[in-house]
Amino acid sequence: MPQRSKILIVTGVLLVLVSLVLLVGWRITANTAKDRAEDIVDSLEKLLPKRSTGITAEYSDMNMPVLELDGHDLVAIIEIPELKVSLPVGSVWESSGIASYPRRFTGTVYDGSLVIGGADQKGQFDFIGKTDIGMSVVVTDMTGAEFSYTVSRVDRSASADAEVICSDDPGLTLFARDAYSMEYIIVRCSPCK
Amino acid sequence: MRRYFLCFLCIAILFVLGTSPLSALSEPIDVSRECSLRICYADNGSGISDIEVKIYRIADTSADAQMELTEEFDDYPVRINSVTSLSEWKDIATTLCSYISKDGIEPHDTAVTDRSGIAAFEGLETGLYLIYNASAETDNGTFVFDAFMCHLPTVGTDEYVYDAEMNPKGIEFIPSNEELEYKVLKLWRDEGRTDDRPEAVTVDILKDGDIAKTVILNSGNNWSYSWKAVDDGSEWSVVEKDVPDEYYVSCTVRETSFIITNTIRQAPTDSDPTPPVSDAPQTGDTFPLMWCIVVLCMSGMLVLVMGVWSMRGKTNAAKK
Repeated sequence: MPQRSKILIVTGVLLVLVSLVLLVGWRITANTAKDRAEDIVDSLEKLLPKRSTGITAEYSDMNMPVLELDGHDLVAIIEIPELKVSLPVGSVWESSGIASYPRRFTGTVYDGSLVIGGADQKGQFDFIGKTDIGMSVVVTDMTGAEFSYTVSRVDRSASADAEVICSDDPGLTLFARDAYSMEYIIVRCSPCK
Repeated sequence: MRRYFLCFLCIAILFVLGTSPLSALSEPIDVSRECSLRICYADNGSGISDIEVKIYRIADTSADAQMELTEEFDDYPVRINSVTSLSEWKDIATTLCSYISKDGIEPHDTAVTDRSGIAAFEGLETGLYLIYNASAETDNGTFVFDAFMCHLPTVGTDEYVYDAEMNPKGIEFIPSNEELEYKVLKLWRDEGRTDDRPEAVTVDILKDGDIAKTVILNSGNNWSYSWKAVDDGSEWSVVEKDVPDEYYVSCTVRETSFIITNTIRQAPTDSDPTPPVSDAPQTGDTFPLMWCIVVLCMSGMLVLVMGVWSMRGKTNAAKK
């Protein structure tokens, strides 16, 4: 077999193998994160008190209480029943990136300023592209208080600094970066009356 | 066990404290003036007599409405200033009741309701008071009025009211005599200052004021403990021992769950550390991995095809 052909064939096979390895690694990481998030939510459900309806005026001048679970500092569970989403929410935003579950970017659920960010990958905010206006979103804090919202707007933005993500209207904001287009998807939710 | 349902404390507390009892008026409080307190305990408008009512004087108040815990309570790490929400006042009342129950603190004053269900207190100093849990036996169970906080004077429309009246709402509790699961859970409000958290906390679990057990909460048990007991009308409460100096403590009750929250006394300057403004919050996927995989795969296949094509071309030329 001519030398040049050999080199091309070997290089081609290597490139394909590398892409497959990256794909498999990416999928394993995503599945692991998904399983970990599910385990965390299961543990939280066993620890938290019976759910009750939260009142936004309560503790309006205080931050959300944190439950330390297996070394994770958590402030809430976020659920979207129509998309079968149930995820823990970490208390502190990691500037280096989100590791295993969505994080509180800023604000609290008590004064309608809560912003939660996540990664657009399996087990995290991969649902965000499928959210529609009118969908229900429930955030439960670590005292078992539930706060219900309805999706009111879904925006896309090439850039998203804190001023773009945070909203003056009371409610809940979710955001993630689309893994393909690299645009930010920002979901605004209004509190249910 | 008395189940701590959501009750109507709000009504009583609203009546007494208003939305912001200590900052509503510009006039100073006359701290030398005596106050009076009339509390009406009723069920559907019918006064309940012979209820023993205990009040505890928790804090002094200054002319400019700043409160300071009295000597009897200044060792307890509860936050009483800058409290604005009803839920916080409710939690403060719950926390103080637990300490009072455990340490056997004597009330500042007691009274018994008359035929109209009214308990009257006269000659009270200005300050913050706790009106302790009160109850009356019914045919089926117990009619319970949860504890609540009261500041004297209260805040009226445009003046302080030194002769206050309150109408707390009660709920009838009927023991189920079933085995229930109780739990105690530890939460933190400390702006993520995990280094300040202790390695463990000790919690006394009280049944009718007596210590039933002492447990340790730490990261190993996810700062929680649960136990089972028959709901026989007993009153359960929890008290954290030796609260670290950096924290206030408060207790929230949600039916059979007790949530002890430690709030850091001095929040950092930037109490809500909103991430610095940047063009792109990092969400762990700044690198377009999917596109890289696609490009690598397509490139590899293209190069592979080129190699196979080249090899066939050379082979055919050799045959000719």
